[in-house]
Amino acid sequence: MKHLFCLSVWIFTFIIGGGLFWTSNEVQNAESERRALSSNISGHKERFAVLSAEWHYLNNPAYLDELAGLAFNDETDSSERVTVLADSSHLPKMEGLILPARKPEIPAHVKESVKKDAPVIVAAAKNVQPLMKATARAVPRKSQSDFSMVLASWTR
Amino acid sequence: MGLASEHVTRKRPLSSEIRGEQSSIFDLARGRLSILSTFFIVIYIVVAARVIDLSVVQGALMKVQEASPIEQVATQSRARGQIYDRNDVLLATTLKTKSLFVDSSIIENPQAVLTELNKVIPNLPQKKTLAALSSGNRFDWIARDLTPEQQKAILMIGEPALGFQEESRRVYPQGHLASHLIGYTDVDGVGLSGLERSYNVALKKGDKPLKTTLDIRLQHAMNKELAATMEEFRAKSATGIIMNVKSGEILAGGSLPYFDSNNINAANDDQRFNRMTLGVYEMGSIFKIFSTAALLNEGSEMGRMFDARKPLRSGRFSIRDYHAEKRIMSVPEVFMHSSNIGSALMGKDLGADKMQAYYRNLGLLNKPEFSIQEIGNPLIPGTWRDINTLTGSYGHGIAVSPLQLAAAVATSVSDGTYVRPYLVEDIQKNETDVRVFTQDTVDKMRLLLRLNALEGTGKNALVAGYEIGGKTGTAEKPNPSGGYDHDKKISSFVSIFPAKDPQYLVLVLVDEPIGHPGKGSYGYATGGWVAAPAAKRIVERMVRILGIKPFATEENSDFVEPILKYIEGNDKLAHAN
Repeated sequence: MKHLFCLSVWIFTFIIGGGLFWTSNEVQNAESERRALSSNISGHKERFAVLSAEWHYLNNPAYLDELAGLAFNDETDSSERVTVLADSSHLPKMEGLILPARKPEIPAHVKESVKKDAPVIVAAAKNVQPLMKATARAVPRKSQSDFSMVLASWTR
Repeated sequence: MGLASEHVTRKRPLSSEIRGEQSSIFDLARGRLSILSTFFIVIYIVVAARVIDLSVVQGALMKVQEASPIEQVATQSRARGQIYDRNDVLLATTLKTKSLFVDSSIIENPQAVLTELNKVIPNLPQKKTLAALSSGNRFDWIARDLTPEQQKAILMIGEPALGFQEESRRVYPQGHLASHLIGYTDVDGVGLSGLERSYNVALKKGDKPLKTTLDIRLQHAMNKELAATMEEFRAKSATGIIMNVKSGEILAGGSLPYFDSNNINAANDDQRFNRMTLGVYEMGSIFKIFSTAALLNEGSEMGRMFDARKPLRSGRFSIRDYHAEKRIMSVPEVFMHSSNIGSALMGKDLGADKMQAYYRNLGLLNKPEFSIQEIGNPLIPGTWRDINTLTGSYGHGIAVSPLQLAAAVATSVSDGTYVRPYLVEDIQKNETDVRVFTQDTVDKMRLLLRLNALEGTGKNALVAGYEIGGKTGTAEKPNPSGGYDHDKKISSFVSIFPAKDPQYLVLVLVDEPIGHPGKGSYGYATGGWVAAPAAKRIVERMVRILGIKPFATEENSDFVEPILKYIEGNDKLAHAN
């Protein structure tokens, strides 16, 4: 009985000791692995931050504008040019054609002085419409009546 | 026998003695063993309890309280938070860099090291660096924020006295764009201006990035047009704001000349000055929006007539019209022809108290709340006299910042409730915001602004198909020696579109433009000739960037048509008289 008790104490001691040693080893391994992963993540984060900063720097609109200016040797984003380029898909083949210039259709209420300054759009065929016309979106007439009460007060 | 009996007699006591000794030894051993076992058991229990405590009890708590290992890494390497625009374009970030120091106690030939360093780092201060290399100190900075290439080249020198320390550097990929609003930090990462300063604590925590309302594409478009206007009219400076009228979001804003936040040391005070929020100016005729709206809000009819046939005298002051019509005009005509006399008469009708109350509710008399701290105090008369009511109605005698002006205009054309401008969505429009104008007044102001763009001083800002409304402002700058300098002007234009239900506001302000006969300005340096064309070009770029399609105004007759007819009739009547 005594021997059994003594033996069990020793076995228990060994089991606990071994278990603690194994646990400690596992913890150390896990800690080491975590540190490696952390370092890896940190490195990736740093690289990502640098790449992100570089990407946004290279896509800076001022820089892109400068590059476009160098490539096209001209203002690329003026309204006139954008309108012409947007319409180019509708234009017929350019070879041998002398394209007449015409003014875009401007709403009737816009005065002559404004029409004079309006951009000249190059078009070759009658069915070619300026961008304004092509993408025009109907505004609900409902809003017209919103002001009826206001207008009524003026004409008293 | 005797021996045997003696043996026998001795054996028993000996046996019992031995047994007694054995017994006491066993008892002692048993006692010791029990104590030892108890000791071990107690130790095991303590160890087991500690294991359970660490693994189960505290482990569960740590799981709750602490971040995961990945998050811990993020926390450990947490740098100053990033700043983004509304489309997730990076405006500011922090990158790790290496800084160079020297332990000059172990350096042998400082001059030779300096020669080598000069090859790698340009513009190294020679005297200061040589002093650091020769000082004998264990630590002296040589250069901060080196590039990886520079670090590699310095390592190749092979000087053991040189060492590197990891630091972080704030980087602004958009350079000068919105630099006045984003701001900058010092070398230790403390925000010194703009959002960097206002949100310093939040950015330092680095928990989450700061998302702004800015659109960097619009910022570029605006800056480019402002720069072109400044160049064309040889102006001293220019300021612009693009704002969402409904929400108060600032989409773009800032002033020229600007600076690059990446190289703040190269910027002078003039470049660092934020004219959009810190500069205050007498805005001139744009203030007629507010005096007219206040009058209409008090129940005045649009048909109310004002005699602008001759200058208005008040004490030693005389108020004249820049575009003198010299006739009796209705409210729309006063607005359209930007009559100072008519507006002064409106102010007179309104009265000093009411005018001040309206201006205060529009945020023109107080320092406004905004997402950055560099906010200018408006300059208002110390004692409000009658003449201030007259001049204040057409924007003289009161100096406000462009930000205040934009917010007040937005209020006049949105829904009549004060529009609070903001850059970061932590300032929400709340219920306590003051209602300044009724919806009826707002509707009338939208029409008047559209009318002014079509028939008045804002024609140069029209963009066909987009229902532009707007108001010009031309104010002479105060002369330091008193009075006003007739040659120095602040020319401005505020544009709203679509005028029927405005979504966007574009404000352009040009400081001291010089009119020139060429390129269509006919020598004028007024808001209509300087700022209105710039606003037009900004809107043209803006609608393309945002993909706003034109409105079919050809199919729907313009909503100011009836008022045009009314004015035409009134005009004929006036001339007939």
